[in-house]
Amino acid sequence: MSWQLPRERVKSIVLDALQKIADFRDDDPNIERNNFKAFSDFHEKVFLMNIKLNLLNQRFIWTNQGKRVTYCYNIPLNEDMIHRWVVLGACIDYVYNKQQLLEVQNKIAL
Amino acid sequence: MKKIIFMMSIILLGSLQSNAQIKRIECEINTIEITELQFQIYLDMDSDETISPAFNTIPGFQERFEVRLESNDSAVVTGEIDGMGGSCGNGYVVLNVNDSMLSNKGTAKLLFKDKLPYYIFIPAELQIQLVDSAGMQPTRLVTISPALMKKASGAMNKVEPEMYDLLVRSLGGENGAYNNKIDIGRQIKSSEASINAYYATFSYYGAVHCFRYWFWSLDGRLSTNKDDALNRIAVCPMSFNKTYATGNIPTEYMLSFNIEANQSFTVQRYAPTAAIQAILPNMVDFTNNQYRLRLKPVLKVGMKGLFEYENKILKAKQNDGQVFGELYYYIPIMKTAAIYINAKAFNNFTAGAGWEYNYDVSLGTELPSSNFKLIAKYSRGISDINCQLNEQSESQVMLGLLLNLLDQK
Repeated sequence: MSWQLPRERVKSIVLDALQKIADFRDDDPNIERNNFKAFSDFHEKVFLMNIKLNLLNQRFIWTNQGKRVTYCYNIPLNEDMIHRWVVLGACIDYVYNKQQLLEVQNKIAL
Repeated sequence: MKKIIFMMSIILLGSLQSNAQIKRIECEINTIEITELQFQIYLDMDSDETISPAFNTIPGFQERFEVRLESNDSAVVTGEIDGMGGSCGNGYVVLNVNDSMLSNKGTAKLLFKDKLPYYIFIPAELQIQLVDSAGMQPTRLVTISPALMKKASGAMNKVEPEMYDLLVRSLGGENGAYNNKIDIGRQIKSSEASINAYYATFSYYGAVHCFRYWFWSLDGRLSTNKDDALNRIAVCPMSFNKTYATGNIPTEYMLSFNIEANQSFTVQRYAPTAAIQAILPNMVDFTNNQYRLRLKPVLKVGMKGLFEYENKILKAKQNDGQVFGELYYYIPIMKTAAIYINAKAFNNFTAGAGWEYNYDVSLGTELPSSNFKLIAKYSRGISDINCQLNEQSESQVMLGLLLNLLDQK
């Protein structure tokens, strides 16, 4: 019941973002070991933007004291992080550990 | 009866209050889609507890809760956490310093430049509701006092000055995505007429801190053979861009103003530029169904005006226009190898020479546990600065190590 998205869901969100900039086999057992060294600056930017937007489109609905509130998810991201993560698995771990809950009515205007 | 006791215990648990322990406060920069600085306040909680999603709506928590950053006990910056917009993470609550605050010169100077001690000031206690992770039922209410916040935020790792570059850079600029680097190599003598030479290609990006939309960049190629036609230096004092990332073909639009010259500064010119770059679908697959990540190619097309203010080669100034295309394509081959293509073609309106081009094709692999890449690199083409062939042989073969330095991204 916790509001936190499970890691498998986060992985799916990150891979959806990756598909915007790359092709890969769905059954790749080592997909999380891929690094970002061949990414151009534009690949990095589009990848990060899509992680962010995919998370903002996730929903968590919670009824508290009779009031039903819809939340979305958020994540702080910047261009420096790709160089900190080194591999895709570290990116998924970061998003899983740092995911944030935000009321939908306050969602970032896109 | 049991039900009543259970309900009472829930109510009692919900009303339990205790002083919070702040484990740590982390600073994080957000530059994607929205520009903000986050102070993430980690609370000391039990492993089966989490922060209530409605932590910021309980009585006493004002809708717009003011937070002040102070230096030397005098308030120099006023910020806020928007009560309704406050977000929480796994074990932490977030205080946002938003874009408009960050563009405030005083705020930026305090946070990123002065390195003065500062702390987060809250005028009253912050109350935060915790719930159990499994059932999302209230467990206890924790209180952060102004004194505790002052102590914890004063001890946190402060924002690094480099973070400000990231923040400003997020606001745009054609060259804002430059990978700060310098690559050094040696050109192999390709004919009796040519000479051995060492070269360096470099790019560097920066932001002018007093203006939100002003960015600069420096990139080029210098060689010990100063007559090499590929040598160039380009300075971009200002640029702007906008990205649309969600479509099937992610696209970016760019505007910039460049000042360019060859290495000996015998040709110098202004170059305003408009361009669009996009990530296209993959055109080839050489992986033979191996598990490889196949990056899609990046194609950039655009046009720029060329207005010379110095030309000692032709002894006359020329104004010109140019359409150009650039391709970045990293193509994995089988299980371990890869081809890297970095190509540029251009057509000057008044030169009448038709399409010219230059390109690098690299075949190689990375050396394990190092920042070096072992490559065989073939370069061919014409510089778009003075339209001269590089070397008498028109092409160069380079063998060697590629090293990324100054990589501050």
